[in-house]
Amino acid sequence: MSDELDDIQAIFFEECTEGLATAEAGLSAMDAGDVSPGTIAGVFRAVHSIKGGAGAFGHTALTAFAHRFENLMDEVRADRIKPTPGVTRVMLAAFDVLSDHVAAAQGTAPVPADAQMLDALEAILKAGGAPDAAPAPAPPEPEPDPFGFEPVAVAIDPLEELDPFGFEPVGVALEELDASPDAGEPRPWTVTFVPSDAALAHGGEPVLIVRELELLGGEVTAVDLSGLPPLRDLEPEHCYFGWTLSVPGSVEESAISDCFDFLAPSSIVEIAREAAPVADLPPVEWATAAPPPPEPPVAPPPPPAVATTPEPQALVAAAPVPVADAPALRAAPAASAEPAAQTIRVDLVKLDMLLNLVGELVIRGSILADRLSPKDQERVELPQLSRLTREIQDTVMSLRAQPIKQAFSRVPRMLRDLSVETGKQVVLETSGETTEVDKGVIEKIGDPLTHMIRNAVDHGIESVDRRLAAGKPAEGTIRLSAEQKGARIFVRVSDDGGGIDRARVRGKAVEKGIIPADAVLTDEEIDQLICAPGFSTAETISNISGRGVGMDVVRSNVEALGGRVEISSVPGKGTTFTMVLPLTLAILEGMIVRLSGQRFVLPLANVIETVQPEPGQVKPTTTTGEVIELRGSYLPVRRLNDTFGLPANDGQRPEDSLVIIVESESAGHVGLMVDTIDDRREVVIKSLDQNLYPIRGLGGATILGDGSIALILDIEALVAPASRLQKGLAA
Amino acid sequence: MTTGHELGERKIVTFSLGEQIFGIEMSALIEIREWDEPTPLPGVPGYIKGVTNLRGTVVPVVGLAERLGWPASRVHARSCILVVNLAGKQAGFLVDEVADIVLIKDSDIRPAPDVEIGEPNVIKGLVKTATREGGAGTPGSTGGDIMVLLLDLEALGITRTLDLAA
Repeated sequence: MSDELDDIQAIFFEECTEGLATAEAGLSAMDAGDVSPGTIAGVFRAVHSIKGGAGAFGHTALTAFAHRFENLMDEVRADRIKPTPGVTRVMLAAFDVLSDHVAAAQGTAPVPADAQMLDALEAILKAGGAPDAAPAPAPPEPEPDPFGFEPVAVAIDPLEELDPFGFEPVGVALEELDASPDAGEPRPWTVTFVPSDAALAHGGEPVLIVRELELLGGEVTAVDLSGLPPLRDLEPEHCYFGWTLSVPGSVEESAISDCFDFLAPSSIVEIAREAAPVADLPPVEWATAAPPPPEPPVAPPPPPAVATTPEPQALVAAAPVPVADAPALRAAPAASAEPAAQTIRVDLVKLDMLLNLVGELVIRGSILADRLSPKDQERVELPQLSRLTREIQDTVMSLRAQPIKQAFSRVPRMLRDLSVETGKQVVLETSGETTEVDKGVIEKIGDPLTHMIRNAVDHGIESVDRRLAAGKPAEGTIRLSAEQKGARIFVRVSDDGGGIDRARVRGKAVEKGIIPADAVLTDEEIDQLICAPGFSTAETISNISGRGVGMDVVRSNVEALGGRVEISSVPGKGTTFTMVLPLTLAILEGMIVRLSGQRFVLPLANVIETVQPEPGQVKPTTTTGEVIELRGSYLPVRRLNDTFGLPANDGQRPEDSLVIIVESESAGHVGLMVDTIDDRREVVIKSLDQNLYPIRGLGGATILGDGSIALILDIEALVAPASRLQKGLAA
Repeated sequence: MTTGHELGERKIVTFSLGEQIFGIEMSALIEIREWDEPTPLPGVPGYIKGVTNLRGTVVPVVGLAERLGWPASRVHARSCILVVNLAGKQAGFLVDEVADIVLIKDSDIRPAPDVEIGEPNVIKGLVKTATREGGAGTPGSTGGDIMVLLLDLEALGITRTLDLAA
């Protein structure tokens, strides 16, 4: 039982994470000036569902805070409080506290001190928007103020949307007066709850909901057993009962409906006042038909106001899936909210498995093709099979594609924290958040991105004084962008700070023994030193960057994905770090080459041409360097046997080898000397860090048709000028 | 856990490596494979023999003897690879010969004295088990009992930090 509850709770936390991301994206958009109804509604819904779930699982601190937050969002949504920059800033700060509360509920962080933030929210609610109003202690029952406002009542009464004057509908007042004229005690609720047949199968244990209602003071008055079949027909996994409960009238309807936030589809829930003549009327009709009351109700405003008015949100809450919110979303401008499409939740493990299976299919396909005679290979079935395989592969890849926004979403908060820690003022500009990238890539760039941002704030952006002295605006700017170019994704982090202090970097590298003191390095090579293993030290790095990962780990993480990190820096103007990532992690068209008998895969995307050198075409330039003369120009040649420390056939003549000319982003055209070329085929990339760790110079491994493993070469890492700085790839 | 034995007991797999009998927890063992020459990797410490294909997964193969700081074990007919789970990652350990699977009591595990194998912390403890019939000639046996060195798999995990030090 408790295990099941844990599982459900895990889903709740998953939804919390998504909700927080939505809320943060919305709040950030509001901060940037997008105060469209769709954006605000998105934030409201996110906070509301966090509150609902938290209530169901008994996270009281989280519920209480989310409730107050939701109140404010509701006011903003109803346009009674203007989302001025001041208000938005408080909401952003409140969002941070909310995230901390969620973390606390998960047990990963202490419960945050939220009293101040609660007061700040309350102050806005009371003042109707002034962000800097002094926090006032909340009176238990607010008095109607001289200007006709009823702050708390409107805060939790969405009926306001229908009634701009803030009055209670007369039906409410009259009913309250009729029912209990003296005490103002509303009639008890009758709650009828018939879970759907499949409730148990969906994980919606109805008893939990009944318990929840009992906690609110409810009592089961009747159990409907009419649906119970004879024993022989009884399906143990079906739910046949219906419950009728009586809940004290002082309980808010929203509190009751919140109990039904997690409900299997097609369950029936009815919440009505007992014996009240109006209870059966549809809520909207009732509200609009009611004439305006002559005066505010006698009863204490908050409970009856909400209690007797089934709020629209409550109706939404009773519906099982977020899709129920779709109309509101469709009304919203496309830019402000994610359109809610028909979606299902799929365990990522299953997607990974599917991807692996497709990979196997590709491998078997190419083995099959190899086995057939050339004539059979051209028959129509085989190309058709290949095409289908390719389509399945593309579809599976698209299932895994996610907007890179997910990786970007945690950046704004991080920057806010960093601004506080460093006292530097930083604004964030993002672009290309909708660029779609494989889920695996998104997961793995999170940490590198975090470190690059920390690095940019810590080392890139100068202090306010220095910025002003340099004639720059006091606020530093960090630009975060993503774009797709061909089969690669470029993720850039640029700052407008002081640029890399090359003299200092060089000095540090000499001191650390990374380069000899007399090394002659270009500016680019010095910049690359930042990523050299062992460069980051406690001395050069403050507590901010120092507690993340070093830039060398950033680089190897990115290289493990088959990508690379580019650095460009202009002194006084700023630095740009670019992560160049492959679009897909799964399949690669490659050339199978042999080095000292061992097979390697060379990505075909890098290959320009293959040359069988004539005697004398490859010439030594230095003791270790060689060039190949090709149509009048000279290209550097690397002997891969040497690069990998493989037993090279000493004195092997170039004319007995093949030189593959590859194109690289960092080093232009380079010739790679290999022994032979075996084959050309699609291979499925298996990452080395799944069970080991990324190895520089290798983009992964693949399993060939005979079950043996071939290592995939990472051309960029092999030919990059910086690789010469290392002591060589072979240990 | 549904390993079918009582609390306070555990099953260990014992194997020989050089002159010693070692043991690892059965629960960490994924499978035992015959030795198959792995694909060598460039730029890794010598004890990582390479990678091998374990049903579609690329798994590193570690020479356990070298990893413990001993001379490399010679591969022979009974050499095999113990594929184990190391903190969520899989790795194969080359060992000389798999001996037995024995049930031991937690209370019988003695703390390891400083064994001279470079890194004392890879030994979790010592335990004596009875030899199996006909196993009296097994190295490490004293009378009817064998001394088994229990390996701490957590400490044997392959991390890059370790390799930088290596």
